[in-house]
Amino acid sequence: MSHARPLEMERLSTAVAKERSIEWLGAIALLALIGAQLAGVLNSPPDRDMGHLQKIMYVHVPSAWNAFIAFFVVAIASLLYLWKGKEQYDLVAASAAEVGTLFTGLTLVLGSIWGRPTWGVWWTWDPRLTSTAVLFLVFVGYLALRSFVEDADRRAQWSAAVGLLGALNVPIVYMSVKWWRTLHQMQSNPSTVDPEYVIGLRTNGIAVLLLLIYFIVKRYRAARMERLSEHLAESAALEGRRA
Amino acid sequence: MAETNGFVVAAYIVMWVGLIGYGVRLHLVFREARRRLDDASREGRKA
Repeated sequence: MSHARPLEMERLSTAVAKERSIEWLGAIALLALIGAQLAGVLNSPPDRDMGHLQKIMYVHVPSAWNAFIAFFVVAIASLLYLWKGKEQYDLVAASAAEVGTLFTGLTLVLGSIWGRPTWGVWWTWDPRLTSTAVLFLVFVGYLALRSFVEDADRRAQWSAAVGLLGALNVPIVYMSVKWWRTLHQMQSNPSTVDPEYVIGLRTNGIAVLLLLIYFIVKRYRAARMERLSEHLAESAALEGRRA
Repeated sequence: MAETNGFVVAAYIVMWVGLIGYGVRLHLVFREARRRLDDASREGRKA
């Protein structure tokens, strides 16, 4: 490590400490989500077949959409890490993976709550459900891998490879309802959803997207502080050994 | 109908418990990371 590095890190840590808070984004996202959910629940009429169960769509579908967006971020950041080797891309990928895993978990549980009264079962080995469960498990594995590997470079390289492979599953999940015979309905978009439900779906999708951005940015900042303090501790130990 | 309404309420509760739970965890992780960075910077300055 060069002699100038500790000073550089000291400056970086001061800059990080002075960074502007993003709590305002969290507050806006929260208010947007409350508003969108209230509007969706209060304004949309019951579905002809599903009745009020349709309202689960406003939490299940935005969770799935935003999990896909998070894993898209993982794929791009992982590629950038493998290409450029900069630590910040690894931290972005890890942050997005954590949040994406949360939303995939929510998607599975909410889908199960929807499935019980609609299909009569909590779970079935349907292609859409199974591919989503595989996606979830791959990213649980990704997070476990990050906690087991101590060497930062090796952890970043292995994570980037797993993150890319895991994100490749997203198009399979999305297309599974077209490629295979499945219980799950077609992808929810304006051409497959009744016009009365489209606005509620979009506003909830955007509100959850704001929350996703807030979570990823905040997790990234925390991860960067964690790495910086590790670097500073390593530098201090090296300086101490030199002295 | 009342039974299906219970599933809707359960779904919204699960969503909010998940989001608030993660938000609280994130807040604690962030606070701990900041504390560790402050400590490491202080140690660095002393060294």
